Amino acid sequence: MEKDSVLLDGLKNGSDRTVIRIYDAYKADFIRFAARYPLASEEVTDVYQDAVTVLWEHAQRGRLDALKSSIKTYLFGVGKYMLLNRLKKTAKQQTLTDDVAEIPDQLYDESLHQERVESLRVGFQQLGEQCRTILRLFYYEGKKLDEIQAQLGYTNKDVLKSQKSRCLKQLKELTKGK
Amino acid sequence: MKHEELITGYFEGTLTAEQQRAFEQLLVTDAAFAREVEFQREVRQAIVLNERAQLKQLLRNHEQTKHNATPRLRWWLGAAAAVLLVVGGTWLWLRTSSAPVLYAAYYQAYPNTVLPTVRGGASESTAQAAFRAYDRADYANAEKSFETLYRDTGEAYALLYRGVSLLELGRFADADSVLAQYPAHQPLHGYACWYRALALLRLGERAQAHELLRELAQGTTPLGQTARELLSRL
Repeated sequence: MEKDSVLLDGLKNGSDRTVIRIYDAYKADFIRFAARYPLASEEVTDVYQDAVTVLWEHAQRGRLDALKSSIKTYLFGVGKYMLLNRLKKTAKQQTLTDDVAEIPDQLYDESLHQERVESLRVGFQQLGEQCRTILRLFYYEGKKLDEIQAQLGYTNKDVLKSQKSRCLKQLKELTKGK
Repeated sequence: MKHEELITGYFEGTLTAEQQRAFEQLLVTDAAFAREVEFQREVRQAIVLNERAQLKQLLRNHEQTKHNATPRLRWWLGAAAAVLLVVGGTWLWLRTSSAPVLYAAYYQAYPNTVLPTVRGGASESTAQAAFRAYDRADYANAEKSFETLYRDTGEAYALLYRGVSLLELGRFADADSVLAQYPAHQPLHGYACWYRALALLRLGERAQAHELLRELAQGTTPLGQTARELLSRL
């Protein structure tokens, strides 16, 4: 297994291979760790997948850049939180929802109109590659326009700005009346 | 400061205290401004959810492949050993390592990881139509839609899914030429090579299939491992 710093770089760069390596490396330990909770094995696997998703998301948003603990400790911290949440929900016999959303985070906002968000999600997939890249860097990775300009090699920030506005406009049109 | 820049600063987290006050003031007094902020917050959330769904799908597929691959292979090896014991002779071994048999043992359609939740509707896009057909195993229509999608958008994934659809239709030569177009720097390149190798195998192009598999076998991914297994049986 590579060093954590190498793996974190892989996660930041969006490498599928890295995320699968991490997933495989700690799965058995996580299942042993989760054995103390009364949850079915499929549920534990599901929680583990959600925890890996959060790890990936946090790495991409630069939140693990100054990580003091190991990746494994972080992953298990997130996983434990989710296991407890899952137990609470099972106890209440509620329908299971998106566990990732349970992690306190500005990115998940209950007040938003979820149906509109869903239609935007479908619309986003229909955008061209360049639009998806720009919007993803800005809204998902939380990059500043200056950083995106440098990363994508725009010579002029205004060109990037108007490109981004066009993408948003296109997205608005794709989801109009939905 | 222009409204648009205030909104950008809000998402970047770069507003000064004064700008922050102006931003909050506008949220209350200017309905159009508030709507735009709300819209962009929804966009952010949509992208986040999309990203999560894709990764989750990747992990689920990975779990599924691990599940399927190992026992099936073990079963196959066991069965082959038993047959060899009973019948003996090399002719059978030759027959079971013939291209169509190996193809059948290793081929499995690539799962839809692009649009996991597709809803039908009047304004269905080409991508949605293509994946809906693909998920229904209607490969004739899927193949046509992915062809259109690739022509219109240049999306690399359309090549992979079109290639797999062609394999399903038994059009191996077409599958080979479509999959060969998949660009090497795109994320699913390994899979495109894998399916191309299978197509070549069916076309009797063992040398070319060999070459592709050898390249794949150098990787440490589960795909690399499967490629090594298949190589050892060629």
